[in-house]
Parts: sequence; structure tokens; C-alpha cells
Amino acid sequence: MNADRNSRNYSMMFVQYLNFRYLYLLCLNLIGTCTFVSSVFAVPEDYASLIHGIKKVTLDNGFRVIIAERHDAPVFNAQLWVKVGSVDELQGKSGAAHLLEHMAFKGTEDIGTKDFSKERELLEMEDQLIEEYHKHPVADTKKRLDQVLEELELVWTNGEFTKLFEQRGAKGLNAATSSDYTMYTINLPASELEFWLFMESERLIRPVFRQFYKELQVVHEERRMRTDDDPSGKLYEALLGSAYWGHPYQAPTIGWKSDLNNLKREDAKYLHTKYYRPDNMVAVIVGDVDSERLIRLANDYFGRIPKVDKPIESRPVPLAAQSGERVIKVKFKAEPEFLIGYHKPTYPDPQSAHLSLLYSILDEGRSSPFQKILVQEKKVASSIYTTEAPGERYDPLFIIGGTPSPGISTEKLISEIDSLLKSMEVSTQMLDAAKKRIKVQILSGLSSNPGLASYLGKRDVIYGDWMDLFKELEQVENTTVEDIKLVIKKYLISENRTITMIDSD
Amino acid sequence: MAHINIVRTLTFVLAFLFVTSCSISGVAKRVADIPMGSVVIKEATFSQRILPNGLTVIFKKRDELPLVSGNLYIAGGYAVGNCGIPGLGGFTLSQMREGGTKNYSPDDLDKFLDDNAASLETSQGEDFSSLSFSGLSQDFSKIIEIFSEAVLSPRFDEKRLLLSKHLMVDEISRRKDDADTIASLAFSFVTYGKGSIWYDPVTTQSLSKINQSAVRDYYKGAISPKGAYLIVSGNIDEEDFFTKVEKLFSGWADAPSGCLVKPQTTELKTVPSNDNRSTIYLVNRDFAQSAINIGHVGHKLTDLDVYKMSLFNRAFGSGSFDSLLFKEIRDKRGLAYGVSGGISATKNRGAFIVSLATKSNTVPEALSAVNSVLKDVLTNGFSKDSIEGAVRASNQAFVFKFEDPVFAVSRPALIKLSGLPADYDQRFQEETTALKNSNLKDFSNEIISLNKVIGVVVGKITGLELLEKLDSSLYRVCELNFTEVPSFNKCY
Repeated sequence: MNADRNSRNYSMMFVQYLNFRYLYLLCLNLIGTCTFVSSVFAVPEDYASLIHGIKKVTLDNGFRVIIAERHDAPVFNAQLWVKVGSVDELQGKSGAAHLLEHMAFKGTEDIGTKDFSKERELLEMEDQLIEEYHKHPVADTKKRLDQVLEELELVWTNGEFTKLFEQRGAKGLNAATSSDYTMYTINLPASELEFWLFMESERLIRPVFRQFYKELQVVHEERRMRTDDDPSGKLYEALLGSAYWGHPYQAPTIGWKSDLNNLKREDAKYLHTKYYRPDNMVAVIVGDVDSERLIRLANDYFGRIPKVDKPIESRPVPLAAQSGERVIKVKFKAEPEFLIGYHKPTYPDPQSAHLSLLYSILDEGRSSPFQKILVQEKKVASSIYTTEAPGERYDPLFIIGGTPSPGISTEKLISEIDSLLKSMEVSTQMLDAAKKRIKVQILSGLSSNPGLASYLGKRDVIYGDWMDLFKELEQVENTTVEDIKLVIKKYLISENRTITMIDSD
Repeated sequence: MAHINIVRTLTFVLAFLFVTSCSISGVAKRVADIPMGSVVIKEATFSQRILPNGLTVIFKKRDELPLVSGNLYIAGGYAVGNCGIPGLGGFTLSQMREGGTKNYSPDDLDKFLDDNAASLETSQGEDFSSLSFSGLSQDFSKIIEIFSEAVLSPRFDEKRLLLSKHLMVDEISRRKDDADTIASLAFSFVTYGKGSIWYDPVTTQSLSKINQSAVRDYYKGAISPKGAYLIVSGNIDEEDFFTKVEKLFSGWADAPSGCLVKPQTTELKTVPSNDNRSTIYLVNRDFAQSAINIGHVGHKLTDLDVYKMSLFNRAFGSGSFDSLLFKEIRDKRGLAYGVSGGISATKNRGAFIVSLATKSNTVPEALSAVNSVLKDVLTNGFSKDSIEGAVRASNQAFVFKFEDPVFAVSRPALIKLSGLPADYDQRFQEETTALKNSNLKDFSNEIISLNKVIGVVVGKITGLELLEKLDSSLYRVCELNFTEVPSFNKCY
């Protein structure tokens, strides 16, 4: 370390001390309050220049806004995170959260329609006829349904909502639904901040779930692409289905095909009413914005979303543990492939951080044991990787996946993996290298506007505090070799796992 | 004692509340109430030096994070040829990473990179090849030294080469598991023909010809500092950076070898048709969703108006929710989750392609829908609303070409290597705006010829089944056997 770096360290720590060691309360106006909330947790030095200046505001209605100013380029990334995912769906209604995400692009009472009051009547008729047709699929009902659809086509202005975004210069307009959350993202020129606030708040307050049944067809195509025709997708669906008996992580986020066939508009509306409420959402804006102006506008636009006092009713979720190995062979015409899922704890259990390091130790880099021994030396694997799924709100799976080399059976490769896990020596040097890799990955992720926004938004929506990122990093930093050895012994055992593999015979 | 004037006080309070409520309720009622703004794009600042051997070195200081990264772009790409061995170019690039360097065995190189959270990767595109590195800025000296060795003195270790070939065999066998991969390869096959550099996938047979000698030969001819760019950014000292790079890369000499051959561009006329019907080539496979590619060979980049091309692509179907294809195929008909289309052109070749995937029993409807979109564009051009929207969207989004400071600095190099005009960015907004009153009908007719259009369908449907549902006066269907080496079957 040179002298310059040391003096910078001191000044950074002082700044951290001022900003993060005290709780600030600031009343902006008569309507809302905003709070700069600090944590008693110290931000590591390498992240300080990035994190210094991040502001979090909670509006009166509970809506959270996180802002990070960056003025490299006159653009910003905005993300809206909602704490609703496939874990929150009702039994028999899998896919509803994802379809709701699709509906968010269909417009509002003003955007996407020429005559909303006429449209509303037609949508109600459509719902009734769909219900009728499901019970008694007769030609006459179908004919009436087609007629209603024809009338709706005359009232709709297709694609108006997304077109408005594009004409303002939107890049990367997109969304994603997972087991745990739904996220909407967009990049816009800095001049379009108020436009974004208007559009985002309008679709939260006055959405219209138009073209629902047509969009269901699009989702069926998406399912075919991601699961029905994709060996990895089929294995993943089978893995969750078998590892999570009776647990909400069991259902695929895209939805079971049978559930999709029976989804109705009211199923999406149900989730919207229950979960798209201000205290269950956080907006993150990173880029060339003025925080003060943004906070004022956020109060104006997001502050008008009605507050909901009654807490969200949650249902009890069983533990996801299992006490015996499960092996599922998926009949599918494709080259051999497999997934192994071991149940593991989620954050804030420190063993979650230990297992995060284990991913990196096992598989990251060509000198890692999996790559070096299984791929290069023994040549039993063509590819092998580790990952975690499906979420973090409940205990997820530690996953090992891969493809055996030509001429090697999947069973043989799995047995080699087992032997390696039993015999592998974990050294301090391996652990330190893994810690370094995780740090660099996070730093690199934080360097882009969308990357930073994602880190902040995900943690805030799941854990309620974006600063949890650093608590997790502290757990990573404090992990010892003994911790790693313990989690291998405790979790990576056959009694705790589910295996799915392609069977093309 | 002063009396409190109730009326005056009340008036004041009411006025205060009124004014406050007006300023608090600043919410627009409609989108039109929020004026569209514009932004000022700051010119990227960077330092540049050109070495005597032709290598241009560019540095951009970034001190927000303790990281450093770099990209080396080498002119040529796979368009310069492959010494008669398909895939040799990309394979050689990969071995510059995998096979170690003069002073680092493959294992030592792997260990250094993994222990220090650094990376070194390679890739090859049509117009240029690239090698990249990243890591912590504190390790820059070591990383750039290793990187220079990977570029100037790769070891091409025999054992690693054999391992890479072994892994490629598995990759080749998995192609048949993905409908999109088959459709893309099949489309290139029927469009360019077997033996053309534009249809030249690696096969197990061609893989057997790749060895250390072939890789070294290719390397000598293709990896040259002439016209190359090294672009680095990070939290490092600028002078120190240039000193190190000049020392490490000045010795990089241009030594062209003779094994590279010029690329061929042939238009395939296989299974000739005696009539004007469009040909659909069908690969019958058990997929729930069929992959479709439709189009034909087109113009090279140098023969096109690049601004019209950009606007056409946005309005027609490249990545826009408001494009004709997206609105017709997904929005209106719900036929596909993903659909895209437009002109794909490089310095050496071009094509017009539409790609989508739909369930097998809606393939005929999808083919007809695409055909009707094409006919409409050729007959009527784009609507005023469509063009104005595309112009506005293109110009408003222009700022994103400079969103990433490092990418902004790389743009002039990438523009030059890709064959775009040097002043492409400078003229983009003006040229695009100038098109706002055109309907691009003439341009569309220059680049799309309905009687040249062919289609490739990969899915669970037979030739006869498909033809039954299509207008047989407009289409014929030819079955294509697609294993590692494709061949034509019968036509209906």
C-alpha cells in the first residue's frame, strides 16, 4: 500500500463515519417524509466510492426509493422490484405471477385503448364467455367469444405503452419474474425521468390486463422454448418438482402447462391486488439524476399509490428438507445431461455464505477441482458447473450440473463427483482466492448502472435493506477452511439430494 | 390589543393551502403533458498512441473501482479465411488462452488467473478477432505481461489442444438438440452452399485436421498488429500504462503467412425450381416448437445506405416492440414469444433474414403472416407513423451508444473494423432525421426480392403436412436431412 492509498482510506472512513454511523430524519414536505437510514455496518473500503451517496427514501405510503447518482453519461437505469414471485401463487395457478408481469406492458386506462369504458364492458364479457367455454366448450360460445375479441381489436391500440417508451429513447425495456420477485427494468436518457415516473406509477395505479388470453399463447410459446424443447429446462423443472414436495418452490415460474391452460384474468388481478402495494415495492434509480428533484417527483407520482394498512397475509411454508436421495430420469431425446440439487440454508444463515464460497472453490476457473480433475485430467465431464436456485426467500438448492464426456455414463460422472467431494483438500490459499473472485465479481457488477441497481433492488425487496449486501460480504470474509469442510460434510451428501438426468433410451 | 382579522387570516390560510396543493400536485395527467427532452452527449476523453508496428493503443482512466480491463481487436476475423480447415480461426484464438505462453504453462496460467481473480478470454467474429483481459488494478503489471505473451508468444500446448478437440466433439453432437442452431446452420447451408466460408461449421471430420502445425500456421498469418487496437481502461497510472505497453508490444511484428485464402461468396442454386414458387426447406425433428428462418442473400455493407438500413431494421423487426414483425406476429396473432428480422450485412456479405419460433401446427400461419408483412412493405412501404416513430426512437436512444465510457472510447475502432463509414456516429442523427418523410419503399425493394426468398423450418411436421396447409401455388417444400453433413431429400 502506498501513502496515497492510506490517506484515501482515512478520508473514506471518515466519510463513512459521518454518513453511516448516524440516523437522519428529514421532513421534505407536509405530505411525505423521507428518511436517510444508515446502518451501523461499515462499508468495505473498495466499495466506498461507489456506495457513498446512495440515498434511500421511504414515502408515507411505505413505497421505497433508492437513488445512486452517476454522471458519466446522460442516462439512467430505473428498476422496480416487487416482492411477489411464483412462491406466492395459489395452488393450481402457477404461472400467474409471470403472466401478470406480461400484463404490465399492456397499458393503462388511458394508454392502449381508444375507449376504456367500452373496453371494460367487453373485457367483462370476455371473462364470462371464457368461464362458460371452460365449463362447456361448445361452438356457439366460441363464436360469441370470437365476436367479442373482434370488437376488442377495434378498441385496442396495440403496443402503445411500449411504443411510448421507445420513442423517448428507451433501451433494454424488460422485466423478469422469479420464484421470489418480479422486476421491471429500463434505461432512458436523463431528460426522461419524469416521463418514467409517470408511466411506472400509472401502470401500478391504473393497469388494464388487456389481451390476456392472447398473451397466454405467447407464454405457452415461451414455455416451449425454455422447457419443453430444452433438455436443461426439462431437467430443472423436474429437479424443483422432485426436491420441493409440497413447497411453493416446487412449481415452475413459467407455470405448469395444465395450470396455464386454466389461468384467467382474475388470477393475475388477485396477485396484483394482494402484492402490488406500495410497502411491498422498491424503485431503484441509478444514473445521471438529481436526487432532490427525484425525491420530490417520487413523492408526487409514487406517493399517490394508496397506502394499505393491513399486512399481507402469509401462509406457512414447510421446510424443504428431505431424508433420502431422489433420482429422476427424464425421458427425452437429447445428449446426456444432469442436475444434482442439495438443500441448503439461505441468508442470513452464515452457512449460506460458506456455500457461496464453495461454488467458487469447486468450479470457478480452469484450475478449480471440477475443471482440473473431472474435465482435464480424468476427462469424465465435457462441462460441469455449480449454481444456486430457485430463490433466496426460502432455502434454495446448491446445484451441480453438467454433461458427461462421450462414452461416459451420467452415473459414472456423478460417482466421480462424489469421490472428489469426499477426498478434496480445501486449503487456505483456495479459500482466499475464492474470496477474491467473489469480491471482483461484485465490483464488476456494481460498475454498470443496471448492475448496481440490481444489487440494491434485489436485496432491498427480499431483505428490506440493500446494505445486507455488505453483511453477506462480511460473512464471506469471515469464512474459514473449517467452515467449508463442515458444509461439505453436512449438505453435500446423498441423503440430502435430488438428481435429475436425461434418459434418451 | 390588535384584533385578529378573521377574514384576512382565513383568506391567507386558504390561499396558502391552494398554492401548496398546486405545487404538491405536480402530477401530469397525460404523457403529452411531459415534454420530451434532449441530452448533451459528452465527447469521450481518452489518450491514444500509435506504435510503429501499426498497433493503436488507447487508454481511458477510470478510478471509481480498483479494476482494470482491456480489449485487443485484431483486424480480419474469420473472413480472412481458414487455411482450408473449418473452424481453425476460432480454435486458434481459443488456444492462445488455453495453451499457455512462452513463460507460463497452461496450468501456471490458469492458476495465476484464478488465484488473482483475473481473466483472459478470446473470441472470433467475421470482421475481427478479439482477446480481452480483466482483473484488479493492483495486478496490472503482471496481467499485461501475461496478456502480451498470450498475443505474441502463445505456446499452443499439445495436451491442451487435444483436450479442446475432445470437448468440441461433444459440442458438435449437441447441435442437434437445439432447433435454433439447426435452423441457423441449415439456412446458411441452403443460402451459401457447402464449401463456402459462410457455411463452414466444424465437423468431427474437419476437427481431425486441426493440429499444432495448422494452428501455428494460422496464427502467423492472422494475428498481426497492423490495423489492430488495444483499448484499456482502469484505475492505473496513464504514463506507467503506456510505458509498459510500448515495451511489451513494440516487438510484435507483422509476418503474414500464405495459408489464408480469400473468402468466397456463392449463392447456392441447389434443387433448382422450375417455377416462381418459394422453397421451404424442412428438417423434420421432434421439437414442440419449430424454428423458422426466412430470407435470402443480400447486399454487402459497402453497397448499402447504412442509415436507411438502421432505420429499416428498427421499423421492420430488429429489437423493437413497435416493429412491424413484432406487432403482427406476437402482439396481434400471439404466434411467437420471440421474432426478429432485418438486414444483416458486413464488409464481405449480407443477408435479409426473419427468425421466429412457433408451435408446429402454427408454422403455416406464421409463414403466411411473414409473407404478408413482406408484401405490404414492398407494396406500400412503412406508414408515416411507423417511420416517424422509428426516427424519434433512434435519435432519442442514440445516447446509449456512449453510455459506457469504455465502449464509447472503443466505438471508432469498432466502426472502422466493421466497415462502417468513419463518420457514422457524427452523421447518424442528422441522416436519420432526414429520412422522417420517406416510407423506405424503394429501399425495401432494393433489399428484398420475394422471388428469392427461401425458408427453413425445423420442427415436428412432414413435407406433405406442411404443403397441405400452404398455398401450393406459392410454395414448394423440400426435405433436408440434417445430420453433421446436410443433404437434400425430396421436394413436393
